[in-house]
Amino acid sequence: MYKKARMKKVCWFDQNSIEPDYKDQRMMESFITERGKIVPRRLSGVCAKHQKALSVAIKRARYLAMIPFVAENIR
Amino acid sequence: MKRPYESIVIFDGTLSDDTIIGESKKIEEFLAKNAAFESTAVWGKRHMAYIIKKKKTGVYHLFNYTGEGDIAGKLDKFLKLNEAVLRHITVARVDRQAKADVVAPSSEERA
Repeated sequence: MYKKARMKKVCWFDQNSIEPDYKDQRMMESFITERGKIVPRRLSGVCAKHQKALSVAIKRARYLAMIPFVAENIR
Repeated sequence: MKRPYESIVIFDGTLSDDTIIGESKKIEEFLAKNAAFESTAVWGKRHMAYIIKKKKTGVYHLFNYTGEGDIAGKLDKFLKLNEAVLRHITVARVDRQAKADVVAPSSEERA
């Protein structure tokens, strides 16, 4: 059987040459799941360096109630 | 060694605008006394993602300043006593050029 050809994912932060910022609510929202969990980099394609910074940023944004710890409908 | 810092303070959203401006001024004065105060950015009233101290809305203020390493602890002590402050955070600031034109992808776009 042939393996399905997959396109190589590129880190979104490297591509746009920006860094994760906890003050950017929209950016933070785009890297969490519906439940409020952090999207794994195997799915998002973010590089290890930026994933680390992103996880810190998401945790800061959660503390400031900009994004939820857990989605409202599950709580 | 002096370093640039930023603090975000969430004020109680149920308070009047005048009260919040007054409290914000107090913080500015405190920072001017203990560090080199630079600027304040008002983000306005926002609906919070979860309830804090039985409040659903908060008014976000961002303070920029440069100070010694002990300023974070001093500010923390100062804000803890303030009833109008729901929550606050102090972070060592990294000054980067803002790229306003780049918008984060939605979760569907990325998948």
